[in-house]
Amino acid sequence: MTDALFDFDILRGWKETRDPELAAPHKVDPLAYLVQVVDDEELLRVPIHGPDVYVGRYHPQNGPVDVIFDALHDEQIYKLGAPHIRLSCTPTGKWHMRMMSATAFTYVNRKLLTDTKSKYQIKNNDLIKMGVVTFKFEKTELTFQDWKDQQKEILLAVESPSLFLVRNGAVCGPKVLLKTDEPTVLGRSFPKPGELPGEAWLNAQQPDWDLAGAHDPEKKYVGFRHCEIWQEDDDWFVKPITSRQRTYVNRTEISAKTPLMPGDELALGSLLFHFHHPDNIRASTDRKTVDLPVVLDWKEGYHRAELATEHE
Amino acid sequence: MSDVEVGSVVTVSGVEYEVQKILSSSRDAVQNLLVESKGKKFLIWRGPIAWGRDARTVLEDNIHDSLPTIVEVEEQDDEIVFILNAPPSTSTPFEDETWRSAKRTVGVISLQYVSEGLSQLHERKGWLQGLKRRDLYLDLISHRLYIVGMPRLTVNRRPAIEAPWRDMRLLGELCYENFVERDYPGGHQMAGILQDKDRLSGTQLQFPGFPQVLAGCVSPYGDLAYKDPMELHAGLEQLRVELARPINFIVGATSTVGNYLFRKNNQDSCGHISLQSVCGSQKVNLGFFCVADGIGGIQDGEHASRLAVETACQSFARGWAHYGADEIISRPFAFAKTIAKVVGQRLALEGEFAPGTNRGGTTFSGIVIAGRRAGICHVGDSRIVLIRKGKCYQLTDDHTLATILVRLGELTPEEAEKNDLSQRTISRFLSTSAEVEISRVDGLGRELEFPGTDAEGFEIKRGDLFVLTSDGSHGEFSEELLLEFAKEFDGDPQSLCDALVQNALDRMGRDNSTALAVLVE
Repeated sequence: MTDALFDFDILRGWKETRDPELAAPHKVDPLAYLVQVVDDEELLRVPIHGPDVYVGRYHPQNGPVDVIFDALHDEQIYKLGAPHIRLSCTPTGKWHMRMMSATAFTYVNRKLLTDTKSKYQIKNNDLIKMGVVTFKFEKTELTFQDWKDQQKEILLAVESPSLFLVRNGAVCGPKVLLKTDEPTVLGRSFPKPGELPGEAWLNAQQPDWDLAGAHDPEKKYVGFRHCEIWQEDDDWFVKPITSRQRTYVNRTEISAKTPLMPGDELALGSLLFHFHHPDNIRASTDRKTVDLPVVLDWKEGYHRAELATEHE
Repeated sequence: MSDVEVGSVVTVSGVEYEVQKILSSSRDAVQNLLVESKGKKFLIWRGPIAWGRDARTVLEDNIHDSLPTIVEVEEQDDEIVFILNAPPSTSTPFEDETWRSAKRTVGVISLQYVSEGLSQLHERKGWLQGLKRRDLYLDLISHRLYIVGMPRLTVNRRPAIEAPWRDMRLLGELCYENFVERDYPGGHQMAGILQDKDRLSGTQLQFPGFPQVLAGCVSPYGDLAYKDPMELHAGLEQLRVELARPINFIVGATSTVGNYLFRKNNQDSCGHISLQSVCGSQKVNLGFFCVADGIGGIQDGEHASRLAVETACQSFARGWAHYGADEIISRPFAFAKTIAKVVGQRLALEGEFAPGTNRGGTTFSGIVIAGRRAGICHVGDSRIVLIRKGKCYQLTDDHTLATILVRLGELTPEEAEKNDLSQRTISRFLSTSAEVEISRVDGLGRELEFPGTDAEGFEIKRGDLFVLTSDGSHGEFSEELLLEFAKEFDGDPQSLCDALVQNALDRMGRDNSTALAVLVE
């Protein structure tokens, strides 16, 4: 559908720079697929490129989600948790799933899951129903070790501190080398002075890494000047610029200057990045398994025992 | 006389004629010459007796001006010679290049003219058994095609079923070549093209009469096939009317703040832009019409909806100036969606760079009408309704929680109607914080089956009435009332909008209420 559209630049009156690399195919092979099949017709095939992913709907308050379903209908998305499940794979190739939302329904092979704390083993061709949509879980031939090697190859080719775009659980190719002398600004292009009537953005500087070329649902929550990253001595820091969009480090929302450690996950809305630092290769190549913040205890008139999930 | 050449002299009944042009091919059984005698041009036909007698029968008493009139006939031993009046000196032998570069109206009128002649011939049971290009003369000044030869003519009281088609199919081919300015692809391919609407994209799409004419001429069989040249004539007439008169819009719009007890300001906006493209003799009207219902704080909703409408109209004008009418006509859905996406981005820009005054967002429903085609874009719970021939079609799905719950089967449509909260909760809108994805900008409603729709747009007809309303307006009327109003204010969209908005006010008027109506005529 989108290929038949008209040129946005013409209609909007200013030119957006779209980095073609951001639209390039994923450089790491998928480990598995979630396949939506209805009446023998394959409607949707969503690749899972990483061994530990959150799947479901993005809701700004709950932090970024690795795998979202852009193509589903409103009512199908409405029944998805934000996120809905967490899928993870052991080095031996065994997949597990955990429900992340107590209020959204999850079924495995038509059996309703009730326990948000348990891990359920998922086998090839198992049916996972999230809300009202059923997906078939399909493993690929790619082994965990192969996956790791592919990641390493991409990361180790870069010898200076940089941010790598992460899609569906794995570093996918596009990156920015961070400037050491001044802050690197992430965002997406906006009108240059004189291109559109208006004053507010006339003097603002265009971002160093322009993410306007990212997929539509990815850039939906990316600000035009979203955040900046800079170095102080040997430490790296990130700070949000816009107050309209969310910025997360390791899936926790930040609102002020926050340190960034090698291997950390930075997220602009639902768009995830891997912070790569060549001095700390071990931390760089292994993806941090990051848990969403969970409520440990919460009292508001009554006790919500079911939400008091213990930290793993 | 079989060895005549240009410049040689032939004698018939003692009169000398100088040969100017040999019109027939050497394979024809009938020789056809353009000759001159005493400064006047004539045609000479020479052929077998049986053929000649048939030709004489059908051409008697000046049958039609597109056919030659007999000046003299001479029967010799085994052949017959005709002297006929040549077509006017303004006409020239048919030539592909000239024909293709002729204006479409000229092409259509010329074809109509010659189809009248064919009809007369057929009435006299004369069958040309295949009209060829070399049998035609073209006059671009008086818009006429003349038949100057009929070498295979027979008179037959009980012709084969294919006989009328054999004479008409060339006219279909010519119509195609004049419109598309390309070689006719052949009957089989054309039948395929006509099956597949996508392949007829481009300028032809604004003329629904064009595929009709092609379908009528492409095959002698089937329901669409023309049985008589006058049917072809009528098809061409339709096409001629389409060429001559562009679709016009009459627009009416009303917006009110509603009852002051409930609302302090009007967060609704509506607007339209309409432009005319003139290309040669052809005029095309294009328009964009939209309604936006602001969401958010007192100031913010008002600002967002106004900005949305302004941006949309500017984008439309930019797109029109760059792409031109034909491109928009061929893909109005994509054009409308692109506009909505650009509007969404504009709001996001405003939200980020002037966050203090720009929160909230707006619903946005718009329609692009280009020539005879239309496309819509829709985000939110405003509505676009089409009233056609006394029937009401809601073109858009409301993006509300109610719609979601009905789709999930958790509410029946009747329950949803009464469920105020789910009606008021909207599931998509153009926000000043998150830019809506293009895949979430809707076109026609998901379950709507609508005649004349393809992936790129839908056909509109004269008399169509599009009514765009914000929820403060359509929340207060039923389909029956809308039809009633449409009937009462037939041809007067402004009064219709006034009535719709007044109706909302009469029923409490809790919300801002806006109606915009476009009558296509």
